[in-house]
Amino acid sequence: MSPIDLEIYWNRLIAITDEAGAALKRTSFSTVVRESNDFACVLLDTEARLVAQSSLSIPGFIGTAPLSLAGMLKVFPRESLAPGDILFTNDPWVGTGHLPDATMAAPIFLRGRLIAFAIAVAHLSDVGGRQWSADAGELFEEGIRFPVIKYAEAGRVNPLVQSLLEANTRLPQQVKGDLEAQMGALRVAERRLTEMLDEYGLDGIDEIAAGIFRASEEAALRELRNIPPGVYHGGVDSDGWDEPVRIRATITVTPAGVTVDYSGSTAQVRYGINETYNHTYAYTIYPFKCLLSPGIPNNDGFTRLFKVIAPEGTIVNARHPAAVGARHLIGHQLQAAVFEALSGVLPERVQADSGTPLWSVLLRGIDTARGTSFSTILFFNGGMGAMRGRDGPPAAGFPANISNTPVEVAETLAPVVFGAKRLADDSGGAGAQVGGMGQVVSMRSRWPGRMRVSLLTDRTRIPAKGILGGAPGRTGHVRVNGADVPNPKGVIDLAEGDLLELALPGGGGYGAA
Amino acid sequence: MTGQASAGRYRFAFDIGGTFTDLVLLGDDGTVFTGKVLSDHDDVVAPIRAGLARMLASHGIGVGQVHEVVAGATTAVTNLVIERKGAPTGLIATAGFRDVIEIARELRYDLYDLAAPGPDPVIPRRLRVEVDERVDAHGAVLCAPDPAQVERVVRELAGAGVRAIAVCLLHSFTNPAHELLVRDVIRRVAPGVAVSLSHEVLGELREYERTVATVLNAYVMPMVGDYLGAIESGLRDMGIAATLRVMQSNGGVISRELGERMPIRMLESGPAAGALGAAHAAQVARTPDVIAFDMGGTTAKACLVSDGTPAVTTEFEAARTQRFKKGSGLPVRLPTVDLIEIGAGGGSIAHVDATGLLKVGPHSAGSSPGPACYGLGGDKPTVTDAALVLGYLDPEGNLSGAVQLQPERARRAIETHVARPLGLGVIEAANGIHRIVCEAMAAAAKIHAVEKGRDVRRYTLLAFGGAGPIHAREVARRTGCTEILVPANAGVFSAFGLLVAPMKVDRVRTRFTRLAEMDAAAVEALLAAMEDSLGAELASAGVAPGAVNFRRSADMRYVGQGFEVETELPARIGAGVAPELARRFDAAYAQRFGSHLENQRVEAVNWRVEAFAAAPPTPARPAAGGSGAGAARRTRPAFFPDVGDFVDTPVIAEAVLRVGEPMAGPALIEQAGSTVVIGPGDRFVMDAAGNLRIALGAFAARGAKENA
Repeated sequence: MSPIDLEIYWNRLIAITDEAGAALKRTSFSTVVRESNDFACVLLDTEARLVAQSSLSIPGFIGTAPLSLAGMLKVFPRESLAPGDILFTNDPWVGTGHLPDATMAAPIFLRGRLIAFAIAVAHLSDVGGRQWSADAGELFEEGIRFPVIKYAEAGRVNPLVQSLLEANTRLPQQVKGDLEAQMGALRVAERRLTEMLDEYGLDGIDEIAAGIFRASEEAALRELRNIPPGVYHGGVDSDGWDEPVRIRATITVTPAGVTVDYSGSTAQVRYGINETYNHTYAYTIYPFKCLLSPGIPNNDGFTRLFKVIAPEGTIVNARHPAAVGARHLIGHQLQAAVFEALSGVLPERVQADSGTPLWSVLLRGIDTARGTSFSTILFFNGGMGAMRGRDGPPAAGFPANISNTPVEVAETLAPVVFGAKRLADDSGGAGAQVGGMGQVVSMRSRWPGRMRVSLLTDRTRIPAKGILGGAPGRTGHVRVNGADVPNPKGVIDLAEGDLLELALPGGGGYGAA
Repeated sequence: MTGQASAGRYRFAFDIGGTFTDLVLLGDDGTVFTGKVLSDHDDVVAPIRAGLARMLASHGIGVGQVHEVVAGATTAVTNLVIERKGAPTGLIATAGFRDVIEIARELRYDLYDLAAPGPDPVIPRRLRVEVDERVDAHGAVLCAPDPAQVERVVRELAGAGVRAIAVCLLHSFTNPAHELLVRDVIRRVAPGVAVSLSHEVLGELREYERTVATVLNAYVMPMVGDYLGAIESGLRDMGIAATLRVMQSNGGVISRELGERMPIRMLESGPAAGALGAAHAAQVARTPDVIAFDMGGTTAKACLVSDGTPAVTTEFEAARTQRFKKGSGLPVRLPTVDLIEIGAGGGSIAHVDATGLLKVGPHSAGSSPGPACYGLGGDKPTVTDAALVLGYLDPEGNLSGAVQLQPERARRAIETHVARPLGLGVIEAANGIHRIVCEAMAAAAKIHAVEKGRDVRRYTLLAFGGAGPIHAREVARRTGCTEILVPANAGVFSAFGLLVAPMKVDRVRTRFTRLAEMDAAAVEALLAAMEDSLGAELASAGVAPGAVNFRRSADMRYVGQGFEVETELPARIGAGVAPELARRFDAAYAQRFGSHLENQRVEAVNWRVEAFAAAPPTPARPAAGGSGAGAARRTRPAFFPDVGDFVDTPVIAEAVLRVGEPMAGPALIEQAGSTVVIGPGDRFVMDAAGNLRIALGAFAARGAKENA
């Protein structure tokens, strides 16, 4: 295949996933999908290798779709699939690490022959269980779980699955809409891919995929070979639930690839901050993508260079039925361990640790007497770490790229009045380059009863480290009426008039000041 | 398009571009005179006056015959924002929220490039001050501002030397009382300072986006005021007492006074004028659905014109730090003509990237050093070099005398930087550059159309700009369009667009309304009040009340969704209209997304009204045409991808084409500033208005013979 044809086809495949992604984002009912791009649309070849992925997806989906599809095909082998089938699961160990993420896969046929798969993954509005927080003791408290099933067969949705799901969620209308949005995205991908192949007179994507893999792999290898082969160590510590969590990464670089081994990390814990392997894998690949080939779209040609070892039973690869609902609290920190490990050999590219993970605050109130209720989730970001040549940006979504909810929208959705949302002066770590400022957010409850608030926060005890001599950022805090909330990862109650204050941590500095 | 001067009345428009200012005089009888002068950024008025005086003198028109002037001053406003050269501006915010403009939406526009720079917040922190006040989401006052404190912060800003103040208070669009109070204090304490209030600039929920629009409006207000004042007095000094109007981004013109108060609405007036010029050309050619495809030196732009109306969006971004990266700029959520722009123009550079594949753009050689074939020092191969090697441009040509083309340099640049590294022949490499550019444009146009729920294959490709007619055929083939229209007089499209634009003002108000619980009378009152105030604005701009039309719409969604679909509303909202609104929304949703949802509740978020009055009609003037191309049998070899080889192709000067004479491709039609490429199997004709219409032949459909 000529390099010109390959360039044209490759761009078309990405355009197809982007079009599917845009449709999903705009029709979804889930706040995190539309405001925060918590979704992915991808195309895979028949061997379940990632060929093209929508550009906007957050890092939690880098390279997870192939793992998910492989898990699905174990249950439904290729020969059991027909046009119009849609495979579905929200199993954290097959999908992306927690129950709210629904993974849907559609086989794509051309003239009766299976030629590719499309996958749409997105965060559903609600899957039942406890209010989203880290305080579940096991998976069963976190919502309904669907093993790998056929959501649709030959174009017909399985009514049992739909009614089961609707019966187990607080937001049946919205979840139904979410799933329709995902199916719509799969239809877009399928239609556009077959149109493209017809247009160019092609009978499959295998040759294109091979070209994409080769080009991407060679480009990444050239960058990789600038790193001296060797073994590098990095780590990151964070608050954890009741005691600190330690992540240790041993990175072995050879001219042919990279192995990241998390042996020595904290064992899995009794609360919902455990990761499944797939999520760990995605957030391990992400910093390498930033370091080696930020400009090249994601595909198997890049991910094949990485091997991730996460010993079973550790917090980065928990065993079923560990609670995993807030797995991002750990996943978002893996980048810091990778950057630290490689800071000596790539000093011009690494970044100090950030005021991660993002914080989420779920506000919920039910007034059974008046028959009213509300439920709203708000996101806030701390400051990013500094790197050579640039200070850390203040209040920025990293590594996940999750936007805030505007104050005016939040006040429309929930009975609260915000007192402030301002940058926290001097919260970034000092250094040759200063870490990004965190922010201070305060809100007062106007709900006439008990408002239940789920808090998912971190770095209130252990700050984001500086790098190459930079100072750590300032820790954050959560206070109610001025008093510290000792362990802000669970559910607290606010009475009418109570003031909740969140101070998000600053990012670490770079280099000695 | 020249004609006899008459004693009639004339409307005059000028479009101030970066290099040239285009001038157009349009007689009430349809007579058109055009002119072009070099822009002078130190004294914008002088070249316009000189050019106009020359046009009036040479056509025997008196200054008294010019009764209306429309200004397209786009680059002035845009450059103030891009170069951050606006006035020193202060921001007054609700206590606790002065950092809103810096915190933005907490998003990074590039997930992997950690060093990608975001937009700076325009106003430094020391000029962002706070006032203790608060209105809640329902408009109830929780804390009233203390006028003494307001006075203190205004004095503080005035003392710091600001020339403008933006006021953005939370929820001001539900209750503007506090912003109005602050305005009164500013007027009293600092009367010379320009004021921009958020509920007036953008009466819409979301404090960051509203603050950005308000701040940018304040930021350019003093300069734009000076600028329009200079234009007005400059024209008055030469004896022209005409009404001055200005073009806005929304595709309408407005009075000078309103333009001065809302200069942010002029940010994209240049592209808007271009789109309107294209829409007018389409209307003259009786092809209501066109994709306006404008390809110049550094970019290609496309705008979907459906049923004669250019598409409008509220998702415009100003001053991107990376021009082609969505999210790297400042969001301006005001209605703006919706253009897609990709970094692929005649000067775009072709190179082999880290993946070993051929990329074209977004870097451009611009006009200096320019394409390799200009011989002005550029040695990188560009899109224009490929067009020259493929025979689309005249190898002996000199681009209207500007530079002598040097085909050998083009070949060498392609050979060195593309052909050899990829192991291809020069022709294959040149064709690759051409295909990649055209495919990129086609893909962008297809996605753009899909996002609007339109089938681009039913549209006519309307091609203009220096590189537009060269690439139109290949873009059309790749989008599936079967007709191309190359309009007459495309060179002054934008300036002409200013004269055919309607007068237009629009407004938005956020008010969440579930259709099932809708208070029809309250909604009707809201919309009627918006119509009244917009009608008054048009009346103050000299529009007769009977000439005003209103268009009502609402941004609606299924409850729980976060994106809205703009839905046209009936002229009156009466009791029992909710099911009708739901039906309209379902239909709009289905057009956008393929189907609508069942059993979901529907809500309206924003209510919009647009008031407009059509421009005076422009009578069409028939084209003169030439004596026929029969005699002109110059040929040159041109490469056609569908043939896979060079074809000896007749070269015809556009001026000799006879109106209405059907012709068969292949042909290269040379016009001032461009060449129209017509392939084997295509048919073409010059229509009565002087437009070239090309029907792509069946042969042009891509076959298996050609891979891509």
